[in-house]
Amino acid sequence: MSKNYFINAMGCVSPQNSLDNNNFLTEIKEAQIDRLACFEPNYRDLINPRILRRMDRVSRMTIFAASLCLQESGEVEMDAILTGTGLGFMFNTTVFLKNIIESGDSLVSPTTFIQSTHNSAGGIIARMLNSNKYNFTYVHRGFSFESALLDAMLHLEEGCQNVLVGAFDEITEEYIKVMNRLQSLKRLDKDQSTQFLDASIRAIWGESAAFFTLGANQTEKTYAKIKEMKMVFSNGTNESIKPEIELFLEENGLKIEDIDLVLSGIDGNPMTRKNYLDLHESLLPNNDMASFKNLCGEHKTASSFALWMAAQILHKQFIPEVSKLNFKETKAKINNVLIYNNYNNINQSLILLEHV
Amino acid sequence: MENLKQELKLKILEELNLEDLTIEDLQDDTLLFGEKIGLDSIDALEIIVMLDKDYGVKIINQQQGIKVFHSIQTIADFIEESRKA
Amino acid sequence: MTKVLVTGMGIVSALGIGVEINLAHLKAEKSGIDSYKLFKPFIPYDLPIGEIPHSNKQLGELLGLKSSKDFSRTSLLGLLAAREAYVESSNPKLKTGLVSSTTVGGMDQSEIFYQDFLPDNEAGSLRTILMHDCGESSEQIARNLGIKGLVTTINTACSSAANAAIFGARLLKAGKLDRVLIGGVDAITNFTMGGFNALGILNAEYCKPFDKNRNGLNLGEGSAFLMLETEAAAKENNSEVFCELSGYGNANDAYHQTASSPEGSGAALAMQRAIEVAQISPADVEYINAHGTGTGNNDLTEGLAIKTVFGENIPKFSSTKGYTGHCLAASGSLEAVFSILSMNQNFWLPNLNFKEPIEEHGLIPIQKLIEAEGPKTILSNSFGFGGNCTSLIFKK
Repeated sequence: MSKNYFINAMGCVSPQNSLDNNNFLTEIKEAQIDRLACFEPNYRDLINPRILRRMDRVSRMTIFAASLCLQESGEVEMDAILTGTGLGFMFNTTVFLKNIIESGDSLVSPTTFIQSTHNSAGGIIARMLNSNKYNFTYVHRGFSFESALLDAMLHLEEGCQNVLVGAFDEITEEYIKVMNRLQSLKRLDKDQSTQFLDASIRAIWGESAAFFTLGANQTEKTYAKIKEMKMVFSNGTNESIKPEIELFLEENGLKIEDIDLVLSGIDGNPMTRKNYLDLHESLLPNNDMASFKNLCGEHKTASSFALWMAAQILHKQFIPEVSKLNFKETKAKINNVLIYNNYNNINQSLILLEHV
Repeated sequence: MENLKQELKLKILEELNLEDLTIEDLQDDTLLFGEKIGLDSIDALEIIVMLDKDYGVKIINQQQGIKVFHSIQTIADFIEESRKA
Repeated sequence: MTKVLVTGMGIVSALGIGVEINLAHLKAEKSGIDSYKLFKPFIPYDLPIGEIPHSNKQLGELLGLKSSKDFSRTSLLGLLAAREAYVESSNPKLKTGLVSSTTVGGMDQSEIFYQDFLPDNEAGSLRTILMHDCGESSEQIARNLGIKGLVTTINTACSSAANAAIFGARLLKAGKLDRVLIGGVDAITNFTMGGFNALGILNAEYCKPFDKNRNGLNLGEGSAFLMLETEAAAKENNSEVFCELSGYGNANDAYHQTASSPEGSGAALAMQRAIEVAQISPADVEYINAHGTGTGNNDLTEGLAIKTVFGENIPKFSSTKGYTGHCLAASGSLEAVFSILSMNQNFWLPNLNFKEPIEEHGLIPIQKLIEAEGPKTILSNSFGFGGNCTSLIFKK
């Protein structure tokens, strides 16, 4: 049974220029008011216009990210295609809803409906690759990408050689309006420390699409190795995740001090910020820590951007200044990176990576 | 008739996002569901919506659709006939 | 490798709430499809649907909820089926998970929100939009049943619940979980009614799967869940065993977003993979619960795919969509419950409304209920948009 999950290729479309994996966050794009929108490529560079014609923006981002990853993978056959998305095709969904609300009894165009199905990106990738392999889409909030990743890891354990796994979520005008209204309802906790991220206490909404080739074997292109991943579902109680993290590390033969970098999902979101800070202070006060949501914004599949970032950090042995939160001393070598993400205090996830 | 056909060509290119084609690719008698243009069943539904919305003509069933959507010429003929009726 | 056993079943469909009433109506050959009574369409449709004749308030009362207002219809239906299927564990060390599925989640509530929100972005009850996403109903179920081992949701359109069964079974076999509740749920919404209507595949009459003159599908709503346990966990829990989930296969047709390939190659592959995992030969399959939606495209290509896999020895088969309508994400688990009932209660499910075979393949389904020893090996098909094809095999 394989317990090695090698990240052998990646493709990422994000608010940063993440299109070329040879460069790693050399220029940083900052948030516009309340959002970090994707830095969009020229989609025609990699996507056939015939495939492109029915795609909305998030499909384009997604298929472009998948194509970047596949291009980097070369002639590798994928034994499974796994995607995750928290909200799927919000833009198409909204357009179709609008059409049926406003149409009266006249005919409605079906295209936005058929393209609103959460698994349509997985379907497009299958058609692009002419692949009839296993093809699943996970749609569970802050576990959407993690579930796809679990399925990918399971496939390698079952004997598959290479699988394509990725995630996507988009921001739309309507989405931002709803999220800002929701956020303004949450009262800010006055005791919150401003030790990390001195930006005003509010979330910056974001989006991304990131894909990975996970292989059972190391190649010359391998970025990093995933050691293990864990999802912790809490019932909305403020129960600490500390024991879960300790157990997780123990199961992987590590102690807290072996973690060279914690990539934390903390942002200005008042709902989760206090729990992040409590955890940082109680468990990880001596660990070097970096953030990723100041680069990709908050979204249900932000952890897929974090995985891209962690793999790059391990591969390039470089941590972008802008993401550093709490640095005691810069380690000579970064061996172990732990991604910790907390979605609404209900979906918390841990991804442990190792340098190869 | 010529104006109608020109208008239909532009609409089809635009509404079906056929970005890789130009108006020259779409001759009056080019097969719409043939290899070159390659439309599919979803495009047929889109054209039905367009004809209803923009020209007030209705396609009643699939069989009729297959005949009408043969080419730009046949769609234009169908609109003209429906208008006379 | 460990066997995956089915040890609990729960169902809510147009036939009724609970396994017993569903069984009674199946055996009476009584369809649940009718003109709608509760559904509030944006525009009046003259289309029959497989509606569950209980308002959200009534569903909430059945669940013993103080108020049903904080629940989407999807969550209410899911909770009812999940509770019936769930088997308590006697050993807290056994790890239990939930793999649910839905295609449009709390869309029934989002529609209410959007009607207010679209004309005025400051309007619309935020409570309703919080239920929009597909994870909501799953988390309601997990919270209600105290499931913590793993909670996730799949959406591969109409093959969703069957895929939840596959993922659940693989998690058990890999030792990640000991027990997993799997299933799916979808409520009738304007979004799906409008969508399938725009595709021109809704039937103004009762659907006629596999009939020459089939003319589209009827939408339905519902939910079904199965409790899956490893052999060891089932033994430890002293669980009642209904059957084994012995095979499964998922394949992508890689042809078109909505249409099947002309020969149904993805469907054939899914069936072949399931047969391979079950380590049986096609001749061992005694009954096929077909996807059989009643659309021109599905029933033609599914029939051709069945012929590809089974050659001249086609097992008895039927589509049960004529009973419940097409319940989208839930159809895979709903039909799994029907299949297992037929296996254990000794009857063979009829394909309602069938008259004449499709010329291209000539396949004739079971037309009247047969009361005889039930099928011992059953293959159940579920196919979805995005070319997603899934087959499950249940073994006595």
